[in-house]
Amino acid sequence: MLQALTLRAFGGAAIPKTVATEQENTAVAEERALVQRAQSGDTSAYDELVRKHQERIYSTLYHMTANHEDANDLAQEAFIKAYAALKSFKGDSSFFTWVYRIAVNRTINFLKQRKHRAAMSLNDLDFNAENHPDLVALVSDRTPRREAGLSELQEKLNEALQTLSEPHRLVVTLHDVQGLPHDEIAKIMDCNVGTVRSRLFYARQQLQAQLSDYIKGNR
Amino acid sequence: MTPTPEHEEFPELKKLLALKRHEAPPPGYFQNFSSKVIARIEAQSAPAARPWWARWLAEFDLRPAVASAYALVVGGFLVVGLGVALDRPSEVAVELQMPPVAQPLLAAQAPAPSPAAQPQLTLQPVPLPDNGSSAVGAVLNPDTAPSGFFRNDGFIGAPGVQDKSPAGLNFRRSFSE
Repeated sequence: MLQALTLRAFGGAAIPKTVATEQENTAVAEERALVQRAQSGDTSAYDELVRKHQERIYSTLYHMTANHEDANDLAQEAFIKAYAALKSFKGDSSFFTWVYRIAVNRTINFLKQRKHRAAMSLNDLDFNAENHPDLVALVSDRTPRREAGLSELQEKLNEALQTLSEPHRLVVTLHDVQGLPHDEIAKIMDCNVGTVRSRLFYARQQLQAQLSDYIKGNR
Repeated sequence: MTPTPEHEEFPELKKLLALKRHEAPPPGYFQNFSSKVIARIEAQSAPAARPWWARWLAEFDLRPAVASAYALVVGGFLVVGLGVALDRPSEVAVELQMPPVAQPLLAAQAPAPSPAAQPQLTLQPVPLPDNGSSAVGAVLNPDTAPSGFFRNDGFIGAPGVQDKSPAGLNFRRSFSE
Protein backbone atom coordinates (compact mmCIF):
# COMPACT_ATOMS: atom_id res chain seq x y z
CA MET A 1 0.00 0.00 0.00
CA LEU A 2 2.77 2.42 0.91
CA GLN A 3 4.54 1.59 -2.30
CA ALA A 4 1.40 2.38 -4.30
CA LEU A 5 1.02 5.72 -2.55
CA THR A 6 4.65 6.50 -3.15
CA LEU A 7 4.26 5.75 -6.87
CA ARG A 8 1.36 8.16 -7.14
CA ALA A 9 3.26 10.85 -5.28
CA PHE A 10 6.07 10.59 -7.77
CA GLY A 11 3.70 10.83 -10.70
CA GLY A 12 3.89 7.19 -11.42
CA ALA A 13 7.63 7.15 -11.97
CA ALA A 14 9.42 4.14 -10.69
CA ILE A 15 11.33 4.70 -7.51
CA PRO A 16 14.10 2.51 -6.23
CA LYS A 17 12.79 -0.43 -4.36
CA THR A 18 15.24 0.15 -1.53
CA VAL A 19 13.86 3.63 -0.90
CA ALA A 20 10.30 2.37 -0.75
CA THR A 21 11.33 -0.49 1.53
CA GLU A 22 13.22 1.90 3.78
CA GLN A 23 10.23 4.20 4.03
CA GLU A 24 8.01 1.28 4.81
CA ASN A 25 10.39 0.04 7.49
CA THR A 26 10.49 3.48 9.07
CA ALA A 27 6.71 3.67 9.14
CA VAL A 28 6.49 0.22 10.68
CA ALA A 29 9.07 1.09 13.32
CA GLU A 30 7.27 4.32 14.20
CA GLU A 31 4.00 2.51 14.55
CA ARG A 32 5.60 -0.15 16.69
CA ALA A 33 6.96 2.51 19.01
CA LEU A 34 3.52 4.09 19.29
CA VAL A 35 1.98 0.73 20.11
CA GLN A 36 4.54 0.08 22.83
CA ARG A 37 3.91 3.47 24.38
CA ALA A 38 0.16 2.87 24.24
CA GLN A 39 0.59 -0.54 25.84
CA SER A 40 2.32 1.09 28.77
CA GLY A 41 -0.68 3.38 29.24
CA ASP A 42 0.22 6.40 27.15
CA THR A 43 -3.16 7.53 25.82
CA SER A 44 -1.59 10.25 23.68
CA ALA A 45 0.23 7.54 21.73
CA TYR A 46 -3.03 5.68 21.27
CA ASP A 47 -4.68 8.89 20.18
CA GLU A 48 -2.11 9.13 17.43
CA LEU A 49 -2.76 5.55 16.37
CA VAL A 50 -6.47 6.25 16.20
CA ARG A 51 -5.91 9.32 14.05
CA LYS A 52 -3.79 7.30 11.66
CA HIS A 53 -6.38 4.65 11.02
CA GLN A 54 -9.73 6.22 11.86
CA GLU A 55 -10.81 7.12 8.36
CA ARG A 56 -10.06 3.81 6.78
CA ILE A 57 -11.68 1.84 9.56
CA TYR A 58 -14.68 4.14 9.52
CA SER A 59 -14.97 3.95 5.75
CA THR A 60 -15.03 0.17 5.74
CA LEU A 61 -17.63 0.02 8.45
CA TYR A 62 -19.74 2.57 6.63
CA HIS A 63 -19.72 0.52 3.46
CA MET A 64 -20.66 -2.54 5.48
CA THR A 65 -23.52 -0.88 7.32
CA ALA A 66 -24.50 1.83 4.81
CA ASN A 67 -25.14 4.11 7.75
CA HIS A 68 -22.90 6.85 9.14
CA GLU A 69 -24.24 6.71 12.67
CA ASP A 70 -23.76 2.97 12.92
CA ALA A 71 -20.34 3.23 11.37
CA ASN A 72 -19.37 5.92 13.86
CA ASP A 73 -20.50 3.91 16.85
CA LEU A 74 -18.92 0.72 15.62
CA ALA A 75 -15.63 2.42 14.81
CA GLN A 76 -15.44 3.97 18.27
CA GLU A 77 -16.27 0.66 19.90
CA ALA A 78 -13.61 -1.07 17.83
CA PHE A 79 -10.89 1.33 18.95
CA ILE A 80 -12.01 1.14 22.56
CA LYS A 81 -12.04 -2.64 22.45
CA ALA A 82 -8.64 -2.63 20.79
CA TYR A 83 -7.24 -0.47 23.59
CA ALA A 84 -8.60 -2.84 26.21
CA ALA A 85 -6.97 -5.77 24.43
CA LEU A 86 -3.78 -3.90 23.56
CA LYS A 87 -1.65 -5.88 25.97
CA SER A 88 -2.46 -9.05 24.05
CA PHE A 89 -1.21 -7.57 20.77
CA LYS A 90 2.00 -9.40 20.04
CA GLY A 91 2.96 -7.73 16.76
CA ASP A 92 2.40 -10.81 14.58
CA SER A 93 0.49 -8.60 12.18
CA SER A 94 0.41 -4.88 11.70
CA PHE A 95 -1.56 -2.86 14.19
CA PHE A 96 -3.85 -1.76 11.38
CA THR A 97 -4.70 -5.35 10.43
CA TRP A 98 -5.28 -6.22 14.06
CA VAL A 99 -7.66 -3.33 14.67
CA TYR A 100 -9.34 -3.96 11.35
CA ARG A 101 -10.10 -7.50 12.41
CA ILE A 102 -11.64 -6.33 15.67
CA ALA A 103 -13.73 -3.76 13.84
CA VAL A 104 -14.87 -6.21 11.19
CA ASN A 105 -15.86 -8.90 13.66
CA ARG A 106 -17.79 -6.39 15.73
CA THR A 107 -19.56 -5.12 12.63
CA ILE A 108 -20.50 -8.56 11.39
CA ASN A 109 -22.02 -9.36 14.78
CA PHE A 110 -23.87 -6.08 14.69
CA LEU A 111 -25.25 -6.74 11.23
CA LYS A 112 -26.43 -10.19 12.19
CA GLN A 113 -28.38 -8.72 15.07
CA ARG A 114 -29.76 -5.87 13.07
CA LYS A 115 -33.07 -6.92 11.58
CA HIS A 116 -33.85 -4.05 9.34
CA ARG A 117 -32.26 -0.81 8.60
CA ALA A 118 -34.55 1.70 6.95
CA ALA A 119 -32.51 4.69 6.00
CA MET A 120 -29.25 4.53 4.22
CA SER A 121 -27.01 7.52 4.01
CA LEU A 122 -27.03 7.99 0.30
CA ASN A 123 -26.18 11.53 -0.51
CA ASP A 124 -22.62 11.44 0.59
CA LEU A 125 -20.79 11.41 -2.69
CA ASP A 126 -18.65 14.48 -2.57
CA PHE A 127 -17.98 16.93 -5.39
CA ASN A 128 -14.82 15.20 -6.50
CA ALA A 129 -16.56 11.91 -7.10
CA GLU A 130 -19.52 13.46 -8.87
CA ASN A 131 -17.17 14.82 -11.46
CA HIS A 132 -14.86 11.85 -11.55
CA PRO A 133 -14.33 10.91 -15.15
CA ASP A 134 -15.01 7.25 -14.49
CA LEU A 135 -18.34 7.99 -12.94
CA VAL A 136 -19.31 10.50 -15.57
CA ALA A 137 -18.49 7.96 -18.25
CA LEU A 138 -20.40 5.29 -16.47
CA VAL A 139 -23.48 7.37 -16.04
CA SER A 140 -23.67 9.27 -19.26
CA ASP A 141 -22.15 7.14 -21.95
CA ARG A 142 -21.96 3.53 -21.09
CA THR A 143 -25.13 2.74 -19.25
CA PRO A 144 -27.88 1.17 -21.25
CA ARG A 145 -30.39 3.34 -19.40
CA ARG A 146 -28.95 6.73 -20.16
CA GLU A 147 -31.45 8.55 -18.10
CA ALA A 148 -30.07 6.88 -14.93
CA GLY A 149 -28.77 9.65 -12.74
CA LEU A 150 -25.95 9.62 -10.28
CA SER A 151 -28.07 9.22 -7.20
CA GLU A 152 -30.00 6.37 -8.69
CA LEU A 153 -26.82 4.51 -9.57
CA GLN A 154 -25.44 5.08 -6.10
CA GLU A 155 -28.66 3.92 -4.57
CA LYS A 156 -28.77 0.79 -6.66
CA LEU A 157 -25.19 -0.06 -5.84
CA ASN A 158 -25.79 0.35 -2.12
CA GLU A 159 -28.92 -1.76 -2.31
CA ALA A 160 -27.09 -4.44 -4.22
CA LEU A 161 -24.29 -4.47 -1.66
CA GLN A 162 -26.76 -4.91 1.17
CA THR A 163 -28.18 -8.00 -0.47
CA LEU A 164 -24.82 -9.74 -0.17
CA SER A 165 -24.00 -11.79 2.90
CA GLU A 166 -21.65 -10.13 5.40
CA PRO A 167 -18.53 -12.04 4.34
CA HIS A 168 -19.13 -11.31 0.65
CA ARG A 169 -19.93 -7.67 1.29
CA LEU A 170 -16.82 -7.41 3.42
CA VAL A 171 -14.48 -8.87 0.85
CA VAL A 172 -15.82 -6.55 -1.86
CA THR A 173 -15.49 -3.57 0.49
CA LEU A 174 -11.97 -4.42 1.52
CA HIS A 175 -10.71 -5.21 -1.97
CA ASP A 176 -12.70 -3.20 -4.48
CA VAL A 177 -13.52 -0.20 -2.31
CA GLN A 178 -10.58 0.03 0.11
CA GLY A 179 -8.02 -1.46 -2.23
CA LEU A 180 -6.48 -3.95 0.17
CA PRO A 181 -4.53 -6.89 -1.27
CA HIS A 182 -5.78 -10.45 -1.02
CA ASP A 183 -3.28 -11.58 1.59
CA GLU A 184 -4.10 -8.75 3.94
CA ILE A 185 -7.81 -9.41 3.52
CA ALA A 186 -7.14 -13.06 4.35
CA LYS A 187 -5.48 -12.02 7.62
CA ILE A 188 -8.33 -9.69 8.50
CA MET A 189 -11.00 -12.26 7.73
CA ASP A 190 -8.98 -15.10 9.18
CA CYS A 191 -9.24 -17.27 6.09
CA ASN A 192 -6.93 -18.25 3.27
CA VAL A 193 -6.30 -16.32 0.08
CA GLY A 194 -8.21 -18.85 -2.01
CA THR A 195 -11.33 -18.24 0.04
CA VAL A 196 -10.91 -14.51 -0.42
CA ARG A 197 -10.67 -14.91 -4.20
CA SER A 198 -13.68 -17.19 -4.47
CA ARG A 199 -15.82 -14.93 -2.27
CA LEU A 200 -14.75 -11.93 -4.29
CA PHE A 201 -15.68 -13.58 -7.57
CA TYR A 202 -19.06 -14.68 -6.29
CA ALA A 203 -19.83 -11.25 -4.84
CA ARG A 204 -18.92 -9.49 -8.07
CA GLN A 205 -21.10 -11.89 -10.00
CA GLN A 206 -24.06 -11.09 -7.78
CA LEU A 207 -23.51 -7.36 -8.01
CA GLN A 208 -23.07 -7.48 -11.75
CA ALA A 209 -26.33 -9.37 -12.12
CA GLN A 210 -28.22 -6.83 -10.03
CA LEU A 211 -26.71 -3.84 -11.77
CA SER A 212 -26.87 -5.18 -15.28
CA ASP A 213 -29.31 -2.44 -16.28
CA TYR A 214 -26.84 0.19 -15.27
CA ILE A 215 -23.42 -1.10 -16.11
CA LYS A 216 -22.02 -3.43 -18.67
CA GLY A 217 -19.73 -6.24 -17.74
CA ASN A 218 -17.67 -8.73 -19.62
CA ARG A 219 -19.42 -11.61 -17.90
CA MET B 1 -10.62 -21.37 -23.50
CA THR B 2 -8.31 -19.47 -21.25
CA PRO B 3 -9.90 -17.98 -18.17
CA THR B 4 -10.03 -14.24 -17.95
CA PRO B 5 -7.39 -12.86 -15.58
CA GLU B 6 -8.91 -11.53 -12.43
CA HIS B 7 -7.81 -7.97 -13.02
CA GLU B 8 -9.75 -7.94 -16.28
CA GLU B 9 -12.98 -9.22 -14.80
CA PHE B 10 -15.91 -6.93 -14.15
CA PRO B 11 -14.13 -3.72 -15.16
CA GLU B 12 -17.17 -1.45 -14.98
CA LEU B 13 -18.27 -2.83 -11.66
CA LYS B 14 -14.80 -2.37 -10.18
CA LYS B 15 -14.73 1.25 -11.27
CA LEU B 16 -18.09 1.85 -9.70
CA LEU B 17 -17.06 0.20 -6.47
CA ALA B 18 -13.80 2.12 -6.36
CA LEU B 19 -15.76 5.36 -6.51
CA LYS B 20 -17.43 4.46 -3.25
CA ARG B 21 -14.22 5.58 -1.58
CA HIS B 22 -15.42 9.10 -2.13
CA GLU B 23 -18.50 8.52 -0.04
CA ALA B 24 -17.41 10.46 3.00
CA PRO B 25 -18.94 12.09 6.03
CA PRO B 26 -19.10 15.89 6.25
CA PRO B 27 -15.84 17.85 6.53
CA GLY B 28 -14.41 18.03 10.01
CA TYR B 29 -16.18 14.82 11.01
CA PHE B 30 -12.99 13.18 12.19
CA GLN B 31 -11.66 16.22 14.02
CA ASN B 32 -13.01 15.06 17.37
CA PHE B 33 -13.27 11.35 16.68
CA SER B 34 -10.04 10.31 18.37
CA SER B 35 -10.61 12.59 21.36
CA LYS B 36 -14.04 11.00 21.86
CA VAL B 37 -12.44 7.57 21.80
CA ILE B 38 -9.81 8.58 24.36
CA ALA B 39 -12.44 10.22 26.56
CA ARG B 40 -14.48 7.01 26.59
CA ILE B 41 -11.40 4.95 27.38
CA GLU B 42 -10.50 7.21 30.28
CA ALA B 43 -14.08 7.19 31.54
CA GLN B 44 -14.06 3.41 31.59
CA SER B 45 -10.83 3.28 33.53
CA ALA B 46 -12.01 5.95 36.00
CA PRO B 47 -13.88 3.62 38.37
CA ALA B 48 -10.58 2.57 39.95
CA ALA B 49 -10.17 6.12 41.26
CA ARG B 50 -13.47 6.03 43.18
CA PRO B 51 -13.53 5.44 46.92
CA TRP B 52 -13.59 1.85 48.07
CA TRP B 53 -17.16 2.08 49.30
CA ALA B 54 -18.36 3.44 45.93
CA ARG B 55 -16.65 0.58 44.15
CA TRP B 56 -18.16 -1.83 46.65
CA LEU B 57 -21.65 -0.48 46.07
CA ALA B 58 -21.10 -0.52 42.33
CA GLU B 59 -20.16 -4.18 42.60
CA PHE B 60 -23.49 -4.87 44.22
CA ASP B 61 -25.39 -2.83 41.68
CA LEU B 62 -23.82 -4.35 38.68
CA ARG B 63 -23.25 -7.96 39.73
CA PRO B 64 -26.09 -9.69 41.43
CA ALA B 65 -24.01 -12.83 41.63
CA VAL B 66 -21.36 -11.03 43.67
CA ALA B 67 -24.01 -9.60 45.98
CA SER B 68 -25.51 -13.05 46.44
CA ALA B 69 -22.12 -14.50 47.21
CA TYR B 70 -21.51 -11.83 49.83
CA ALA B 71 -24.89 -12.55 51.40
CA LEU B 72 -24.19 -16.26 51.52
CA VAL B 73 -20.81 -15.76 53.15
CA VAL B 74 -22.14 -13.36 55.75
CA GLY B 75 -25.12 -15.61 56.41
CA GLY B 76 -22.84 -18.57 56.75
CA PHE B 77 -20.75 -16.79 59.34
CA LEU B 78 -23.88 -15.88 61.26
CA VAL B 79 -25.12 -19.45 61.27
CA VAL B 80 -21.76 -20.81 62.39
CA GLY B 81 -21.46 -18.15 65.05
CA LEU B 82 -24.91 -18.90 66.40
CA GLY B 83 -24.17 -22.58 66.41
CA VAL B 84 -20.98 -22.05 68.36
CA ALA B 85 -22.74 -19.77 70.82
CA LEU B 86 -25.54 -22.23 71.45
CA ASP B 87 -23.23 -25.21 71.92
CA ARG B 88 -21.02 -23.59 74.54
CA PRO B 89 -19.72 -24.55 77.02
CA SER B 90 -18.05 -27.41 75.26
CA GLU B 91 -16.55 -28.95 78.40
CA VAL B 92 -18.29 -30.99 80.96
CA ALA B 93 -18.97 -28.55 83.71
CA VAL B 94 -20.22 -29.80 86.91
CA GLU B 95 -21.62 -27.35 89.28
CA LEU B 96 -21.61 -28.69 92.74
CA GLN B 97 -23.80 -27.44 95.45
CA MET B 98 -22.98 -29.80 98.22
CA PRO B 99 -23.97 -29.77 101.78
CA PRO B 100 -21.06 -29.17 104.14
CA VAL B 101 -20.90 -32.92 105.10
CA ALA B 102 -20.03 -33.97 101.53
CA GLN B 103 -17.29 -31.46 101.01
CA PRO B 104 -14.56 -33.35 102.89
CA LEU B 105 -15.24 -36.35 100.62
CA LEU B 106 -14.55 -34.34 97.55
CA ALA B 107 -11.58 -32.66 99.14
CA ALA B 108 -10.16 -36.01 100.15
CA GLN B 109 -10.64 -37.44 96.71
CA ALA B 110 -8.93 -34.56 95.02
CA PRO B 111 -5.23 -35.16 95.32
CA ALA B 112 -2.80 -32.39 95.93
CA PRO B 113 -1.63 -31.08 92.67
CA SER B 114 1.66 -32.51 91.68
CA PRO B 115 3.65 -31.68 88.61
CA ALA B 116 4.18 -35.36 87.85
CA ALA B 117 0.68 -36.60 88.51
CA GLN B 118 -2.18 -36.32 86.18
CA PRO B 119 -4.93 -34.37 87.90
CA GLN B 120 -7.91 -36.51 88.55
CA LEU B 121 -10.18 -33.71 89.31
CA THR B 122 -9.86 -30.22 88.11
CA LEU B 123 -11.83 -27.74 90.06
CA GLN B 124 -12.75 -24.65 88.20
CA PRO B 125 -14.83 -21.75 89.29
CA VAL B 126 -18.13 -21.72 87.55
CA PRO B 127 -19.80 -18.37 87.47
CA LEU B 128 -23.38 -18.47 88.58
CA PRO B 129 -26.19 -16.05 87.96
CA ASP B 130 -25.76 -13.12 90.20
CA ASN B 131 -27.50 -14.30 93.34
CA GLY B 132 -24.52 -14.01 95.61
CA SER B 133 -23.71 -17.74 95.54
CA SER B 134 -20.82 -19.46 93.95
CA ALA B 135 -20.05 -22.98 93.13
CA VAL B 136 -17.18 -25.10 92.08
CA GLY B 137 -17.35 -26.70 88.71
CA ALA B 138 -15.45 -29.88 88.27
CA VAL B 139 -14.09 -31.43 85.14
CA LEU B 140 -14.04 -35.12 85.85
CA ASN B 141 -11.85 -37.63 84.13
CA PRO B 142 -13.49 -41.00 84.55
CA ASP B 143 -10.32 -42.85 83.62
CA THR B 144 -8.23 -41.41 86.37
CA ALA B 145 -10.81 -40.81 89.00
CA PRO B 146 -10.56 -42.91 92.12
CA SER B 147 -12.49 -46.16 92.07
CA GLY B 148 -15.94 -45.88 93.34
CA PHE B 149 -16.25 -42.29 92.49
CA PHE B 150 -17.78 -43.19 89.22
CA ARG B 151 -20.35 -45.84 89.52
CA ASN B 152 -21.51 -48.04 86.75
CA ASP B 153 -25.06 -47.39 87.63
CA GLY B 154 -24.66 -43.99 86.17
CA PHE B 155 -23.96 -41.92 89.27
CA ILE B 156 -21.60 -39.95 87.15
CA GLY B 157 -21.63 -42.13 84.18
CA ALA B 158 -20.90 -41.97 80.54
CA PRO B 159 -22.48 -39.22 78.56
CA GLY B 160 -25.95 -40.01 77.67
CA VAL B 161 -26.50 -42.30 80.61
CA GLN B 162 -29.04 -41.10 83.03
CA ASP B 163 -27.48 -39.85 86.19
CA LYS B 164 -28.56 -40.88 89.62
CA SER B 165 -27.31 -38.56 92.23
CA PRO B 166 -27.15 -39.70 95.82
CA ALA B 167 -29.06 -37.80 98.35
CA GLY B 168 -27.33 -34.64 99.41
CA LEU B 169 -25.58 -34.07 96.17
CA ASN B 170 -27.08 -31.88 93.55
CA PHE B 171 -25.40 -32.03 90.24
CA ARG B 172 -25.95 -29.92 87.29
CA ARG B 173 -24.10 -31.05 84.33
CA SER B 174 -24.04 -30.19 80.78
CA PHE B 175 -22.38 -31.92 77.97
CA SER B 176 -21.49 -30.93 74.56
CA GLU B 177 -21.40 -34.07 72.55
